[in-house]
Amino acid sequence: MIRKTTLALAIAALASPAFAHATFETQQAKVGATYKAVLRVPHGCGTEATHTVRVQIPEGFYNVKPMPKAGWKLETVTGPYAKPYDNHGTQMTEGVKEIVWSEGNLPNAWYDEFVFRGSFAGDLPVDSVIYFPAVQECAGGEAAWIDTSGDPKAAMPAPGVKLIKGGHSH
Amino acid sequence: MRQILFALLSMLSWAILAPATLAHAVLLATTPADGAMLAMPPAAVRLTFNEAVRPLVVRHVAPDGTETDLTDSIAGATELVIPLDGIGRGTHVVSWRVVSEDGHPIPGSLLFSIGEMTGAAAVPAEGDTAVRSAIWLARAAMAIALVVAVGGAAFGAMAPVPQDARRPLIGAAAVALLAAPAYLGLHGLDALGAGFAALATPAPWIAAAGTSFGPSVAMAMAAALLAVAGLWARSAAVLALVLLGVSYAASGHAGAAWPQALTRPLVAVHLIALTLWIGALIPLALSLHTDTTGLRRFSAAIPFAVILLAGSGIALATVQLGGDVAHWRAPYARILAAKLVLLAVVLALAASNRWRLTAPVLAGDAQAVRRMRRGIALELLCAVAILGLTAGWRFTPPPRALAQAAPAAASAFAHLHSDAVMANLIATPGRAGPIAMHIEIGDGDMNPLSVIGATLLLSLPERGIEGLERSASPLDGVEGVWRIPDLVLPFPGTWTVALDIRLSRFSKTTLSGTLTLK
Repeated sequence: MIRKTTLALAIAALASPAFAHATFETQQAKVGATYKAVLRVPHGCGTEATHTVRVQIPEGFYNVKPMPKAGWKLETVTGPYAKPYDNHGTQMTEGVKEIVWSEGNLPNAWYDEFVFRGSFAGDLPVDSVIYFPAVQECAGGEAAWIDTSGDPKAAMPAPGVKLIKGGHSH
Repeated sequence: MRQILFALLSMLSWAILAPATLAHAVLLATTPADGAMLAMPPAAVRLTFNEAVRPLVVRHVAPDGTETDLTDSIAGATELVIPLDGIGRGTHVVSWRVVSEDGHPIPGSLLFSIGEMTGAAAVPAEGDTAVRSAIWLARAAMAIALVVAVGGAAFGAMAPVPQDARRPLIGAAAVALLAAPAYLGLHGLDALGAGFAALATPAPWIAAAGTSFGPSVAMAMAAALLAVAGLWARSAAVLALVLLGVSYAASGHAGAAWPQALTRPLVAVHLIALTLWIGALIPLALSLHTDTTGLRRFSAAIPFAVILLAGSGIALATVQLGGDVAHWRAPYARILAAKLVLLAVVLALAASNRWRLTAPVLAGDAQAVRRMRRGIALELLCAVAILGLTAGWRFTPPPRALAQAAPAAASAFAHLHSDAVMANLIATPGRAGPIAMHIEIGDGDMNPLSVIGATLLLSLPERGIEGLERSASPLDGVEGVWRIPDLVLPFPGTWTVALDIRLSRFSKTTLSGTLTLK
């Protein structure tokens, strides 16, 4: 019984800790593999409701497709990649650089997730952390999760994914 | 067993999830709001977090710098209630360090003011023009009346005061007795920044009496009374003269200048010599057609008074102007220049009286008497103008004081930089209290950099004041220049500053450094 509880608690701790920061559900990904990003938005701007969530796509994360969300308008900003990425033999030279979910309503007291997927390039360095700067916009302000310094004491760190050694994946 | 396992698994999960997921509580709201100006002191300060927190250190720093540790009086909760009993006017800081479940300490500070912002000596206000004009009038009237009354009485020590001079001299003493207390009350109004209506209340009188003008005005009034008595008793006239000199030496710019052991006697000598000379003019003019004893003694004695007057005047002007030529164009120096021009006229008239007219008058030439009286009247008129001008010095800090004040009012400066971004912080004035913060943001070569936001975080570790967060606003039309016009930093010391610069929607950089306030 005790062991079961402990295990459950540990799993709970691993799976969905009550984090106050905007973070990804899965915090590591394989180099050269696809990754489903689930951005967890734990609170508003102070006490205000969030109406827009913007995520910047970093270089090296390509073939990005956001998941539409009921009650939210979905838009993307596309642009050229710094270098072409090989997608199953097709050279991709441009794609999504920014995702915008807008015209929604996420009160401070509620929680929500914003989903997109894409692929990490195979030549990204293992053990590095790739950041996806994200900004919540509210009627009277914003919460900008854009600190990419990696400082554990950062007040508003950007959501990041740690890259681990990849096998081949598809 | 369960706890150990849980702890181990938790640590494991931390290790996997670190570093981006270190979570901590977020401050959602404060009552009163940060930076608020309140009419009444709040009974308590409330801090609302998104989850339950436990206070590690909570400190209240009063306007006078007194620190009170309130940690033990606060219970952990989502909303921390920090009781503040009987706090007074001024700028208060509540600084905290709390910990949420994850054990990560969260620091912060809240600053609010009751009634007024404090932190530095109050900047003297410009003052009400009407009050200032009234002050000038009262001071000029007091000075002229005192010189006429006391000097007239002192003339009696040289020669008999003619009968028809007594009435104007007593009149002058009466004017001095009215103008002196009026000046004191107005000085109090100015000190309190109040309007004329406040003269009916004791406040301005008490305020002024407490300054050096209090005893100074009392002595001046005593001198005026003694001057009246001096018309009958010589010793009273001499005492009035000395008292007048001491009265002026005890207050005002010149008597306050360093070295006081030198400037105060100089002011007294200057006043006594001036009074002997100018004050003698009315009884002298009125005695010319009946008795020339006065003229004979006056022309023998007054050159010494003029030498003393000029000598003490030159010495005082040298001290007051100070070494910094840049400040010589200040209003103080302009008044001095005007005064010197008038003085030249007075000296020319005096010289004409002395060398061209004195001999004929002593010989009984009636026309010379008339001309000398006209000359004396002009001399008196110029002297009155000089005294009026000098009363204007009440409002003009002498250049020496401007030169001394310059470093104190100067800005504090900090240069912050990383490889790609630099910032200059200019805090004016560079001392504790209300401050205008000017922020220049540039690239690595300090070319102006256009950014979309700037937020300053200020803490004062030596006083335990945790980060105060203040956002800057852009200065219209000037690239890379941001301002925080209404920053209040209540205490001097070396503040730790961190400037969060929002380079674009998704990128920012933080520059750190220190800023020292006097």
